[in-house]
Amino acid sequence: MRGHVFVGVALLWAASAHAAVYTKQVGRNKEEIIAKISSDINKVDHTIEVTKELIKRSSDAYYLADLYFRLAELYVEKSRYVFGRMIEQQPEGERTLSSEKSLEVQLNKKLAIETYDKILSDFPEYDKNDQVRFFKAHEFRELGEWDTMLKELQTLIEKFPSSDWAIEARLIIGDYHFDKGEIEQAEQFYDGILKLPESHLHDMARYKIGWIRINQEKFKESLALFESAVTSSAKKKRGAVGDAKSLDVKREAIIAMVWPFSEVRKAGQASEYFRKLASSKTLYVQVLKRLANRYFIKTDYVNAALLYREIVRYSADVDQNIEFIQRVYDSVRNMSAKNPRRYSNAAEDVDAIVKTLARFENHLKFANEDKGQLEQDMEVRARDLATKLHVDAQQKKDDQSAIVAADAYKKYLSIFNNAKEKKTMQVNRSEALYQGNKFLDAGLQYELIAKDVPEGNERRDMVYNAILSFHKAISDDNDYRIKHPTKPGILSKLELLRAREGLKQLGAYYVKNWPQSDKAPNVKFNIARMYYQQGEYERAAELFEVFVKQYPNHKDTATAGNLALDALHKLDKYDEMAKLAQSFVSNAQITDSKFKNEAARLAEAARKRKVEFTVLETSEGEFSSKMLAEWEKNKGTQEGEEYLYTAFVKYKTEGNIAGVFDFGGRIIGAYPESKKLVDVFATMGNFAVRAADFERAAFLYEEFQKRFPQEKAANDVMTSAANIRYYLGDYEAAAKDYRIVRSTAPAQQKMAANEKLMEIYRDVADWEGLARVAQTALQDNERWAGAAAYLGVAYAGAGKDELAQKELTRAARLAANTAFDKVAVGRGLFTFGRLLQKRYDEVQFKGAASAEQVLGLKLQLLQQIEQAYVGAINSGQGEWAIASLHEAARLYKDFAAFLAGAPVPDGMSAADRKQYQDALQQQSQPYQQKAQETLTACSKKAEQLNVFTAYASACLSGGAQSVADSPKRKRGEVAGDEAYQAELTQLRQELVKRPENVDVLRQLARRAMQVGDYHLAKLTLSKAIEIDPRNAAVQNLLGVAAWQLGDVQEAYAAFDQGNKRRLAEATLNLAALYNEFGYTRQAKQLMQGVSGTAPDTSAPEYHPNVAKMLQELSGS
Amino acid sequence: MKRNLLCFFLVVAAHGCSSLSYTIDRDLLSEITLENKLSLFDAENDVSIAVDEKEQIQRQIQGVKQDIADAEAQIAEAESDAARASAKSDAKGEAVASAAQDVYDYKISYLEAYIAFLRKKLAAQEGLILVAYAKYELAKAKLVKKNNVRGASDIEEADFEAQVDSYVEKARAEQESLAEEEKEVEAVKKEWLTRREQLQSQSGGGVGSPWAEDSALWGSQ
Repeated sequence: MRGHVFVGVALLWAASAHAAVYTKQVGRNKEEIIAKISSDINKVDHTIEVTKELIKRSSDAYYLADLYFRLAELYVEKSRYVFGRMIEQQPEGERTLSSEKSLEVQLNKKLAIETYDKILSDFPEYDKNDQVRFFKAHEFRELGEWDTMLKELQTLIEKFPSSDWAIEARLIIGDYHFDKGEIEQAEQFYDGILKLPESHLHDMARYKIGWIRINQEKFKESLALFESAVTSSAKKKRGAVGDAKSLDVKREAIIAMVWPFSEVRKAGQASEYFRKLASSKTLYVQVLKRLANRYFIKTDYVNAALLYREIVRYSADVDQNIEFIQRVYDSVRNMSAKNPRRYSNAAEDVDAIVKTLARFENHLKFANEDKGQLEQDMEVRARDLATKLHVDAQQKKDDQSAIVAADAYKKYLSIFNNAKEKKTMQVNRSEALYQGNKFLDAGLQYELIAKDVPEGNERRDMVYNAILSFHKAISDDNDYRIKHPTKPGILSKLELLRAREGLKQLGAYYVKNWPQSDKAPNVKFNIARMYYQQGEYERAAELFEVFVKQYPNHKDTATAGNLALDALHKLDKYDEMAKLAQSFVSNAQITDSKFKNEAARLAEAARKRKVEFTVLETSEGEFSSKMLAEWEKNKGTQEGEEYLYTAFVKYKTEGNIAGVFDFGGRIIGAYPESKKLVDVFATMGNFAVRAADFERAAFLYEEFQKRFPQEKAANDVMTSAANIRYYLGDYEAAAKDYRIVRSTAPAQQKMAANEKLMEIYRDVADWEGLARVAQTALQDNERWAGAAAYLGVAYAGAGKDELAQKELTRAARLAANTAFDKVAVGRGLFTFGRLLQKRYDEVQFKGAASAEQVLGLKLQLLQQIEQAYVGAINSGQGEWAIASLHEAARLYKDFAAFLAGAPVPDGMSAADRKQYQDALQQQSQPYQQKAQETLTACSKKAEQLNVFTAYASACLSGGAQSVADSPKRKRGEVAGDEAYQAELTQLRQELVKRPENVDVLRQLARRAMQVGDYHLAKLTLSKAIEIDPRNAAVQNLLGVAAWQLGDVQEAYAAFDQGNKRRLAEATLNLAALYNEFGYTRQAKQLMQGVSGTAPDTSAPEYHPNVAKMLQELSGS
Repeated sequence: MKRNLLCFFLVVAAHGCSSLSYTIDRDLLSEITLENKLSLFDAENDVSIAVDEKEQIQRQIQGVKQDIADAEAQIAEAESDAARASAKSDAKGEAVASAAQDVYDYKISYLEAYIAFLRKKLAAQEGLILVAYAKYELAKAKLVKKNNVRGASDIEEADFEAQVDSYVEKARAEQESLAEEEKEVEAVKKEWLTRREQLQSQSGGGVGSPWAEDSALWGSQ
């Protein structure tokens, strides 16, 4: 290796002695040259003579040394000319002179040396002595006296260490040793240069040391030194003195870098690295070429190919590039088969082949024969590279490589347009593009092939492949857009259009030519879809419709059907949509039931929408008549129903009661089985309630339940109907409704219905009915205290005392959990006491003999009754507590009288008799007192609890009943005339619009009271109270209605509310109520606060008892 | 009362308000608050819609013209198909191609009838635009009267209402006439579709099928 290095360096030093003296002339006439040199020699000779003469005449001149220096140089110059002439006179090819011939040359050199010596000895202070010494040494060098040269140069270095000539001297000495392989000595002198300030020879020194480092295999340092030589700021490029030609050190250095670079750096870095360092493209290419060659020789094909590619990219030398392309190809071929990226540059390589070939073929200097041959060779190589990569991509399923392969094919096809394998390459490209998910390009490529191939199966397949590719491109784009709605799609708008149009046009061609192909259905479906996607809905609808007809059981039938309907929907063609959907439903060939169900739903929706559109387009004034007209046109059809129902819904939304009842009634009449009746009945019912038209509401609710018993709301709706009937006093109908609820509702609702039924029968004193319901309720829940109590009450009411006692005893043992139970049990205990009291009353003295026994029995019963009444009092039910207290007082009083009237034993003397009777009187006294105390307690309790019952009244009046309790009033025939009905209708219309309007509700109730319909009034007022519970006028009217219906306790609560809000009518009504039930003090107290003119007591705001009370007061 | 400038802002249509006898100067509306002017927006919108519809008909006409050109291309393709079939002595293919030429002739007849209809519809649309303008002027008249705008005392709403009625009457008559004509066009279309269906059966589902309606776009390249 070392030898090799020196050969390389020696080449640089071709500028050796001879070359330094003279360079042989080329291209001129030899004689002319010799004549010219001879003329030059004469001129130099003349100048020498002139100079000598001048020296003679200037012995004292200060420039004498310069004249000598000039003379020496003239000798040197002459020696060169003489040498040159001799060389020219030599036979052709000879470059050396014989010793006798070179004598003249040497003589002149010696004269020069002598002259230099004279200067040095005579003019030691001469400022150019460093140069003189250098030149002198140089002449020794040319004379081949190396040792003397070295000695002279060494002296120069010692005497003038920093002189430029000393630097040159160091380089020459260094080179001398370098050439002799004396590296250490050489490096010593090169280092000497580098130690001095930067000079024109520093780069050269670096360059030289760089080579030394290569020799030492220190590549990293070598590279650094070369790089330093290339990048240093020194601009001079000249070589050392004596070089025959100017040596560009930087250029040489960059070329020299190739070796160490390949040892310490990666090939991949070369491009960037040398591009920065190279001063020209040519130099850059030259360096890379050397580097690539080096890798190639080293069989490092990966890196060699890498660099050759780079060279081809930059080089314009066609010849050279042909070679390098071959090298690239060879490198790829020679690469390891295991290298996964072996063909990864196929596209670039094919591109290089194509471009180089194109240049070659367009170059005039190459023969056509060569061009043809080269094209043939290159076609094989390009095809090989592209195909190999494609196969590789297929085997590895590498999509990216497939794209590169497709690119390589594209490059191939760009030049080998007439190649035998063109079609194969086109197909390959299509497949590669498809594999690389470049579906649009694949489609376009397939399309091109299809155009080129003749009609037949091959064209069919190519057309289909194109269609498939376009479809995939569109589908991928669509998926992407769905996933990334804010980003642009994979395809640009133009690309998307191209794909869609491609699919449509090729699809049409395909269907036309191969309608029986198994792929035709898919093609047809996708053509239709394209029209749909492009917004051509009419065409899309037509094609999808035909598709469904042609392929009723294709996998895409449902989608096609839905898209056809959607297309019509987008066109607002609801009539056509409904008909088409219906045709799908009716098509027996379609077996997809899910699709058919959906079509049925859409048909209905379309009909509905069509109707809605008619509504939108109809002016307000014509609406009703238009809807009826449309219904007439479509009578008996679902569409007709839609018209009625739409109008119904519109009126419902607007709160138009007349409209709702008009169209609702028509729907009920014309479509009795319609599912819409659920809404119709419920809505009409609700509207009736809003309008306080309760009877109609109850009827509608009942109808709802009757027609739709399975509806979720059926029981609730029926319960509402029953409640309305109950509040309206139509107990029979209410009971019927509750019974229906009871038969169908879940447990809790069933129990509530039973409670209501028991309350109805209890209030109307229908003991038989009450017993039946209670028994039924107990069958469901035998531990129901309320039911047991009412069963006992019913038996008692019916005179079945024994049964009654049994049930009431049972009820007393059961837990009363609800308010209903507590009322029932309270009443039951009282009833139980009353039953016992009946037996008690029957026990009477029958004579003195049995008196004691009778008394004992009576006393025993007294205690049992007491126990029952205490139970009733403790039940917390005011009404039954007061009743029990009253009856207890009566019981005590009765027992006192019974005791006092006990028979006197026979045979007693008058005195004894008197004493006996006094004793009896004394014994009865505590019961008398107890009776009085109980009555007082009753009175106080009644006042405390404000209980308004006959018992309370009796307690307050000292025991005698002045007010009778009466069962609930049933609603009689409503007495209102037509005017009344009309007024009600008008008020109801207002209520539909403003159902929360309390004033209208009050007006309606007041009007009902005027005709004696207190049930309607009370229900209406209850609704008003729900809206505004603080409305005194409404409270007062409610009190009057309640009192009229026997709900006295409720009346009191309402009057009390009105009175508290200082409503005079309420105060008077409350006073009358107090007065009626014996609360005289409270009545008087209230009346004291009443002043002003006499009220019109005939007004509905006053209960008739007010007039009675005022009359009494005025009378008193 | 004079023609107002709003026409220029509302629509591009040149004639618009110029044909109306009764119009309200827009200046009279300047004193009316925006809130009160809201009632005008619907009427303005109706004018825009009517003009849009006119443009839509114009676009339809252009589309149908293109359809005619496409149908002519289909005929050329059918001729080429017939020639090829004849060269191959394919009698059935030749018959199908010949029938296809007839079907596309029918299609062109239909499309030409349709274009004629659309042109009449375009003319009739002018009448609807005038109705919209008349209603717009009526809305303005009502507004200035309701707001008792100075200078509006001599405006009679009845004049504007009569103007609307007059244009509505004319437009209605034109629309009824159009509806009749549309039926005739539909009949021509039906004829074409019937023959197309026959052709489809004759060809075995390819030529004459709605899918292959535009097959010449690629096939003739």
